[in-house]
Amino acid sequence: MNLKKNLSGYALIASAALALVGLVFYIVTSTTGYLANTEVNALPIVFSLLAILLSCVGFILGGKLNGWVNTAIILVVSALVVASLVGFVDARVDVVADVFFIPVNFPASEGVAANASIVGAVFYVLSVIALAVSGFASDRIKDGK
Amino acid sequence: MSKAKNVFRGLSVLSIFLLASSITAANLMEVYADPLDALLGTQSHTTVVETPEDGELTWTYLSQFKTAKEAYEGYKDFAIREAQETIALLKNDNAALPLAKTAKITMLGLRSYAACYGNNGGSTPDTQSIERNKGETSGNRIFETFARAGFQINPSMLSAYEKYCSALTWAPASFGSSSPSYKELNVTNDIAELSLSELKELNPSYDKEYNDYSDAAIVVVGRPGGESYNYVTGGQDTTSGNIMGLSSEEKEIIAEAKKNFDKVIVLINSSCVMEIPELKNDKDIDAVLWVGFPGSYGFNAVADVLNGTVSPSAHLGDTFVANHSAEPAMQSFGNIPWTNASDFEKKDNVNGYLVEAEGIYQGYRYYETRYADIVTGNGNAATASAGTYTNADGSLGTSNGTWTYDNEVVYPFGYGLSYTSFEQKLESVVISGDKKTATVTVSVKNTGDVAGKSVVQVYAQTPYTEYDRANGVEKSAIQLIDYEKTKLLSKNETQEITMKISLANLASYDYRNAKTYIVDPGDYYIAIGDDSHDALNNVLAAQGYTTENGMTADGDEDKTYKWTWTGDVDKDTFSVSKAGVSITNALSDGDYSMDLNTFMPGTVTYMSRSDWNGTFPKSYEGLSAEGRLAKLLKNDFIDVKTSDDTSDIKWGVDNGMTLSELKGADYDDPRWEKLLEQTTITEFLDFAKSAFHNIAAIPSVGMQQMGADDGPGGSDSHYFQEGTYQGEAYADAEEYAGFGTRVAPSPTNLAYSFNKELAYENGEIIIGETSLIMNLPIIIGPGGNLHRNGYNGRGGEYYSEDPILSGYTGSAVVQGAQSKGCLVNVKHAAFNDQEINRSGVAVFMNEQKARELELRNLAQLFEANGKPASFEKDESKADTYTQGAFGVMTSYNRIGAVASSANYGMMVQILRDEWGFKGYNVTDFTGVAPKAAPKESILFGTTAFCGFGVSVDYWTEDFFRNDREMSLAIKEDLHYILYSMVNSNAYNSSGNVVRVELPTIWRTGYKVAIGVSAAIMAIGVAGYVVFEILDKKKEAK
Repeated sequence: MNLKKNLSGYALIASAALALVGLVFYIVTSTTGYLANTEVNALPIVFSLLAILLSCVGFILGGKLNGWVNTAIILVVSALVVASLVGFVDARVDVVADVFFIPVNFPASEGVAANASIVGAVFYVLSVIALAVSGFASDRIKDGK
Repeated sequence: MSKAKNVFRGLSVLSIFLLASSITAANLMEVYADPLDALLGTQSHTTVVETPEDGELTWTYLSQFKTAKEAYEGYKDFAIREAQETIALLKNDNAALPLAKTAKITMLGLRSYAACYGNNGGSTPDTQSIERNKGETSGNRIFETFARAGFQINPSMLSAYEKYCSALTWAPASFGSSSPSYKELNVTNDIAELSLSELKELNPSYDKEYNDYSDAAIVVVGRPGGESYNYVTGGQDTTSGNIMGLSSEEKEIIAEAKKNFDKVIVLINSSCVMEIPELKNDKDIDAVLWVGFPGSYGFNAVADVLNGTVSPSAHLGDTFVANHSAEPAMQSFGNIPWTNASDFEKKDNVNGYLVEAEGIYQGYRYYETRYADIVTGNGNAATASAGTYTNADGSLGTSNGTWTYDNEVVYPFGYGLSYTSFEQKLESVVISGDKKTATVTVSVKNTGDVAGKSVVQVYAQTPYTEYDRANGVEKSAIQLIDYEKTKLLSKNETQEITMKISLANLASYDYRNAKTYIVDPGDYYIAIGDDSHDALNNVLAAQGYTTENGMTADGDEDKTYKWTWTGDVDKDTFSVSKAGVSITNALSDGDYSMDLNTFMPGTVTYMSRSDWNGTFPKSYEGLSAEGRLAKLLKNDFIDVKTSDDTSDIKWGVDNGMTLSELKGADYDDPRWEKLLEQTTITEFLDFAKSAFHNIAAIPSVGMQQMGADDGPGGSDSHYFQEGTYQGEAYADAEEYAGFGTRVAPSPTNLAYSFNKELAYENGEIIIGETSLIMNLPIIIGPGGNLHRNGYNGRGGEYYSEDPILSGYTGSAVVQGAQSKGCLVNVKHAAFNDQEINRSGVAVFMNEQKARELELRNLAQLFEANGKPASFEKDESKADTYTQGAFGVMTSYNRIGAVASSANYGMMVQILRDEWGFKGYNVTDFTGVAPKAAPKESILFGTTAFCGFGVSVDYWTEDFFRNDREMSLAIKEDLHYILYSMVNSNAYNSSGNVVRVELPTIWRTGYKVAIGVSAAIMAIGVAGYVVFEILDKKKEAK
């Protein structure tokens, strides 16, 4: 195993962890409570899993990969996480608008779905921030060759 | 590795996020542009009218306002004129009113500073119009209007309230606008009032100027109201124990006024019915004035009444009872949950239910009928069990006792005094040969000293027969059948009014035997009276009864007319609707029944005058929904077929037609078929899901996207800076920025005017002109639900407890609005009787109640009934009342077990068939969600779903395409949409109307964000590539 034990690597794997939390919120809010039994947009799930997988690859093999590949991994993971976030937001905008535009008309379960979705989206945003940190940080391997 | 390379790579990552976020935000902002405009006060679209090729631009509907100034002043003038007629004088001992124009007054009560101007939510009055008048320094708050009218107001007392309110939150956000109220006072579980000790803390010398401002003490008591406002009985420190009674703090303030002033006047500032026997019975209180919710400018009108500029002419449209706890219609009210509600999924939206076991005995129909039965000795009416009657002091009887009219009713329906007096004579009554109409002529003479308007109220009594007793048909001892208001009559002036009255409104609905409307053989009475009780007393007098029989006062039999219906029970005369459709049970059997006994046989006992005490309603708590009822509550009860032959139903055909070609065409014009062939199911689904403040485009027929807004008192989120005159923006628009159209008194106030012409003008200006000048073809209003009781916090958005007063007021508003081309959405069909559990509550009643109250009321709006007598003689009004309401909004509550929009009996059998409704039918803020039963609703004529988004998994063309009935229903729904749109001001001009984007701060913002993000991305990627190559070269060296 060749772990990429530098700031870039840690930020990359942190982004994967944050995206995973965001994904859990997406799946849970899609399949339980107010939105149970509604159609689930699968793209955020697929994109998130790909992003997490690729992040892990980058973290594990990062030390062996050249700069172009490392950068490509960070950019592709970024695109996948952002696409997941967009899909998540798109799937929740009606619920959030319902809750916050006319604040007295919604059932409590819809409020829970809206608030939980906002929390999930925030984790995706944090994942993007971690990716930005990974992007700004050096690829040089300090340890663990 | 260079740091520069990392910086550019990091920027690239950030730019991906920023660009994607910007584009996503841009899309969302454009989709929700109208709500966003409402939230931010921006204007993102306007409409431009292109001159047609022939160069001649013609218009179907013309606005009366050519400039923003004209509009602002026109709305203001009307709002004050309307308010002047909506104030009811309930008590005026020793001619306490009017006051001198420069009277020195002391205003007491928190509401004398923090008045209720209107509903908080549901056409909240325009805040800016209250805060300031254009070109003046003062606004229209209650104390400002009184001062401007000439009254000199005690500043010490006022300052105490001012200090208290300065710490509160003024104008909180409410449904796309702001509410001109103090947020902390908008509570429904407590009575907002200050005690004397609290006043002393605020201003130790609050009482120091009593002697200097002693012409009168004006005490204001009030209760807020509005959309989602919930009131319940019990739990309060009032005589009745209820929140509509006077609290100890309010009584303390009134006592302070009585102690220090010779003249005490109380203003009732509430659209809910307050319990005020103390005010009526207290000899030290000189005058009581009901002002309701008078609107943005309304206290100018209150001042006009107080100082005698205007003689009050309003009459109560609700029965003012002493204690609502003893009212049959309050026994099943509030939060009554299904015991197994938690067994349902959240999406099923199953919460509670109402069992309206009072039947037709709602409002005065109960109080007057029970009183009549005491006088005539029917039904053991005087006997009352504990908890079902009111004591003399207004408290609830807690042991078995005696029911007494005077203890129950403070002021009857129709009651209202004037500064002058009138003499009304029933000149003649002629019953038509077909027995369907009565022509009633009444003369009114002003016998007093000042000019005033009088209301002619015509009531009727029908016989209560053995057939009725045997078949559960209930009869009210008195019911309003028509009304008119005189012109302003000078001293000694007389006016004669002739009214052509439909006797269909006398027929009783027999849901058990005849299953249609019936007329019993027996004696019928028509009577005029000053109010419902007076009219009943006149009938009782004609029947030979006097005060010796227990009447509260002797009646005048000369004000009655009697005729006899002979033969058997008539099941034919009123069994066919105005549209020519046979009327039979729609809500008594099967899945769409409103009678809980259909699902739980023997559960409900409906109130009957044959045994008042034994059938007094109860709450019916503790019921569990099982079996078919449980299935229906899930609102998913019709399966869509997948293999029908639908090949003959044509979609997406290019016939080269546009919707504008069918302007003015009949609904049955054969060209509609060709036009509808051009549409697609997907177009319908896209249109139907996008109905929140929006009319989505239907491109295949050339129908563009347009705006819509919530009412009923004007536009919720558009202001005069957006105004146009026949397609041209107001030149002076910006000068009137922020002033809005929601300025008139509440709908309840309007009804209390008993003035059909005024209601027509309200519709014409407040809804119609707003629609026209703001380019909003759809306004969601008027509100047309009946007041089941005085505790619906949203009652101010509706008219009255009586179906004729409510129905004819609403009908006049509809006619006025439609005269300007507005596609009204009458809301909420039907039975929105409370706001508690309003989304999902299952409303049950028998079909007699449904038909004779709420539906008789709504029918007037959809059948264009109630034409004013003055219009009958006016050639310019010949074209009015020829078309009923073109649109409807269904209710949040269920009708029986199913969503209102999915109740076939209501939506198809009654609305579409019996009433001949061919218009637009939208749900109330449900979105395309399971709670709205979307597929069932489409099948039964729903054309759109107000709200945000789709949360069912079948909203696709493929799902509906292979079900023949569903496909045909969608085709018909499209027909309804297009027919109502092309006959509205959406198609006002001969030119092409184009919706164009305007620059807004948010639109500019997202464009800049997209541009900057893209630039960062380009720089980031390019920079990274350059430095990566340089790095590689460096490493290679």
